[in-house]
Amino acid sequence: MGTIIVDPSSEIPETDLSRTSLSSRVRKGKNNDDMQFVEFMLGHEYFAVNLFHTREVITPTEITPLPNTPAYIRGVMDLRGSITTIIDLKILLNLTDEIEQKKRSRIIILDQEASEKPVGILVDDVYSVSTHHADDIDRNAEDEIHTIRNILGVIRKNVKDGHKLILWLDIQAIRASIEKDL
Amino acid sequence: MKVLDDIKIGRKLISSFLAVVIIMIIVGIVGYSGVSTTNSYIGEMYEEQLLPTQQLLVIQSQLWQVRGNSAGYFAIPSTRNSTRIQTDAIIKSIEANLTSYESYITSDDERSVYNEAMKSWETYKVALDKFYPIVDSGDTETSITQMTTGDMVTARMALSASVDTLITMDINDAKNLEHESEETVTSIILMIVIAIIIGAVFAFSLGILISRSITGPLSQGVFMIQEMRAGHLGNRLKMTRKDEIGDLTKAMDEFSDDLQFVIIGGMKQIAAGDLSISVPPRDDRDEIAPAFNQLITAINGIVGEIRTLISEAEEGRLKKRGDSTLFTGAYQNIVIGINNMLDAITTPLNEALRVADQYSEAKFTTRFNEDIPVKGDLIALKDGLNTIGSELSTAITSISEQVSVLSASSEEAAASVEEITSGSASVAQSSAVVSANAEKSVNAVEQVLGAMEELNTSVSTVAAKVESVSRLTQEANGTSASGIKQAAVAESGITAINGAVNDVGMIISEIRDQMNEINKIVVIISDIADQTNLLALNAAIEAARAGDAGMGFAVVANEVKTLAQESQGSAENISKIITSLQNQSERAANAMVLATSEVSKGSVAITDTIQFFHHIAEQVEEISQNMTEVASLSEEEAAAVQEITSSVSEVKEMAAETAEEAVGSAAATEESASALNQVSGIINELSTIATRINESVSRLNG
Repeated sequence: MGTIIVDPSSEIPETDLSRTSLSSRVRKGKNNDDMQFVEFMLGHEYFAVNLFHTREVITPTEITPLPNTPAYIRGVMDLRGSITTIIDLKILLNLTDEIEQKKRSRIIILDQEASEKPVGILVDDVYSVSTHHADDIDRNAEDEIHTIRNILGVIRKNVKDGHKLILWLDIQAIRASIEKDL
Repeated sequence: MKVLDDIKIGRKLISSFLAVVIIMIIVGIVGYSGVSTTNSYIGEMYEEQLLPTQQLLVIQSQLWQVRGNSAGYFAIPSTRNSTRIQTDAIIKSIEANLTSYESYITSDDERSVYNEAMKSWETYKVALDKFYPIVDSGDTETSITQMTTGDMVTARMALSASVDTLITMDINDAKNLEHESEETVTSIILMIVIAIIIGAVFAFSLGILISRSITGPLSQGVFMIQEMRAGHLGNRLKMTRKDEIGDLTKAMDEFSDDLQFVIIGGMKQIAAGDLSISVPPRDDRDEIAPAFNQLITAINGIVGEIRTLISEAEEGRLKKRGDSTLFTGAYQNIVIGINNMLDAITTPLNEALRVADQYSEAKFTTRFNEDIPVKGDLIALKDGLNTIGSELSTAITSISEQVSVLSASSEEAAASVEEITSGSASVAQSSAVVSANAEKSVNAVEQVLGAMEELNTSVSTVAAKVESVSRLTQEANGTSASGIKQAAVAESGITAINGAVNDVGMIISEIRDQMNEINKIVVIISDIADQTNLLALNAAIEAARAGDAGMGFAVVANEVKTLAQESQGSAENISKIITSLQNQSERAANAMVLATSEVSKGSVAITDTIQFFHHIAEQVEEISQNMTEVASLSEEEAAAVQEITSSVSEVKEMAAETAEEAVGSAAATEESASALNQVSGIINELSTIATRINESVSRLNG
C-alpha cells in the first residue's frame, strides 16, 4: 500500500518537471494548450482540479463539527481569521468504500470570490502540482456526463509501468451544487 | 268341692282370673254403650237444632241490613249503584239460606211456619223491586210512603216474626233432646254400678274358695313335716286329691315309709349285730342309701381287721400290724391301740433277739438298748443278757492288749526297713540319672565345641571383610573430597557466567534506549520533510498563479519538493531498520533472561551437589569408624571364643569322669538294696502273723 502511494509521488515529479520545463521551453507560444492541475487521491483513485480554482494546501487542524448539516460537511475551521467550511469530498462523491483515514490527509482551500464563503475540501494526500498538455486530456465524455458527474475530462498520465488515469473534477460545479448547504 | 280338688292348681287359677276378666269386659261394654248413646244425643242437638238456629239468626241480621240499605238508597243518591249491588248480593244470600233451611224441617208445625215465612219473603222481594224505580224516578213522597207503610214494612215484619217463631221451635226441640239424654245417662250409670257390684262379689267368693282349697292341705303337710322332725314317723296324710298338693302329700307319705321301715329298721338290725343287710340306692343322686351302706362297710372293715390281727397273734406272728390309714376317727383309734399293744410286747423281745444275735457273732460289747421301754417280767431277761456280755468282754480285752503290743513292735521294724530300702533305691535311681545326664552333657559339650570352631572361622572372615571395607571407605572418602573440589570450581564458573549475562542484558537495554532516541529523531525528520513537501506544493501553486513571473520559482519549489520527498523516504527507511534492530535486541534480551534463569538453576544444582558430596563424605567417615570398631570387636570375640573352647573341653572331661563314677555307685547301691529286701521280707512275715492275731482278738472283742 505504502509503496503504491510513494512510487507515483516520487517518480512523477521528475517527468512533470522535465515536461513542464520542456513544454515551457518548447511550446512557449502555445501556453493555452497547457493546463495546470493540483492532483490528489481519494482512497486509491486519482483526481485533479484546476490549479486556478485553488488557493493553498494545508494540513488539517481542529475541525469544529456543525449540527444539523449533511454528512459531507465536516465542520468549520479557523484559517488565519476566516471561518472556512470543510467538505469531505469522499462522502460527497459517494466514495465511501475506503473508510480508513489516511495519515497524510490534506485540505485544499478553494479560490473564492469576495462574496463567496471560504471552502476547503478534505482529501487523502495531495501529491503534486503538475501541467498537462491538452492532447493528454480526453474531453469526449464531457457532453454526456457533465451535468451528472461533475467530470470535465480524463487525464492520461505516464508513469514507470505504463500510464494511469486521473479524473478531472469540475470543482466549481460541485461547489455550486451544494451552495445552499454551505 | 271334690270336683274342685281334682283340678290342677294352675288351671284353677287361670280359669278364675278369666272369670274376673269376663266380668270386667261386661262392665266396660255397658259403660261404652252409655257413652256412645250420650254422644249421639249431643251430635243430634248440634246438627238439628244449633245449626238451623244459627242460620235463622243470620237471615234475621241480613234482613236488617236490607232494610238499612233501602233507606240508604233513598237518602244518598251518590252511592246508589253500589248499594243496589250490595243489596242484591244480600238478597241472594238470604234466599240461599232460606232454601237450605228446608232440609232441617222436622215437624208439620215447623213446615207451615216456614211456608208462611217464604210467602212474606216473596212479597218483600216484589215490594223492593218496585221501590227502586220509584226512588230512581225521584218521586219522593211515594218513596217515603213505600218505606213507612206498604208491603215493604208488613212483609218484612211478617218474615221476621216467622223466623223468630222458627228459632223458638228449634230451641224447644233442643230442650226436649237434652232432657231425653239426661234420662238415658242416669239409667246407664245405674246399670254400670249393678254390674260392678255383681262382678266384685263373684270374684271375691271365687278367690276365697280357691285359696281355701290350696292352704288347707298345705298346712296339714307342714304339720306332718314338723312331726317327722320330732322323730314321730307314724303319721300319714293319706289324701285322695289329684292336684299338685295330692302328689306332694303322696310323696311325703312314701318318704315316711322309707325312713320308718328301711333306715330305722336297718339300724336296729346293725345294733343287734347283723351286718349282712344292704340298701339298694334309688338312683345316682340318692344320698341316704349310699351313706347307710358306707356305715355298714366301715363297721365290717374294722371288725375284719381286728379278726385278722388276732388270728396272726395266735399263730405267733407278732410283726403283723393293723393298717390304721384305712380308717378314720374312732375306728382309727381302735386299730392304733391294738398296734400299740402289740408293739409293747414285741419290741423288748426283738431287742433280746438282736443282743443274742450279736453275742453269737462274738460281739460281746453289745448291751440291751436302754431306750427301749421294758416293763414287768421282761426286765429279768434284759439283765441276764447284759451280764453275759460284760463278763466275756473283760476277758477278751486283756488278750487283745498283749497282742497289740507285739503287732506294733513288728510294724515299726517293717517301717524302718522299708525306709532304708526306699532310700537305697532312690540312691540307685539317682546315680543312673546322673550317669545318663553326664553322657548327655558330654554330647552337648561336643556340639558346643563344633559350634565354637565354626564361630571362630566366621569371626576371622568378618575381620578380613571389615578390613577390606575400611580400605574401600577410605577410597570413597578421597573420591568425595575431590568431587567437592570440582563442584566448587563449577560453581565459581557459573557465578562468572551469571555476571557476564547480567552485563550483556544491561548493554542490550542501553542499546534499546538509544534506538528509541534515534527513532524520535527520525520522526522529527519525517515531520519536517512533510512540512517541506506542503510548503513546496503551496509554493508551486503560488508560482503557477504568478504566471510566467513565477516560472523560476516553480522550478525551485519542485526541487524542494523532491528533496523533501527523498528525505521522507530516507527517514522511513531508517525507521524500518531501527524497528528490526529493536526486535532483534528484544529477542537477545529474552534469550539473556532465559540464560540467566537456566544459569541460576545450574548454580542451585551445583550447590546441592556439593552438599550431597559432603553428606557422602560424612557417612563414609561414619562407616569407616564403625568398621574399625567392628574389627576390634571381632578380634576380642575371637579371643573369647578361644577361651570358651578350652573351658568347654574341660567340662567335657569332667562330665566323662562323672559318668564313670555314677556307674560305679549304682552297682554298689543295687547290692545293698537286695540285702535290705531280704530283711524286709522277714519283718513282713512277722508283721503279718501279728496282724492276724490282732484281727482274731479284735473280732472276739467286737
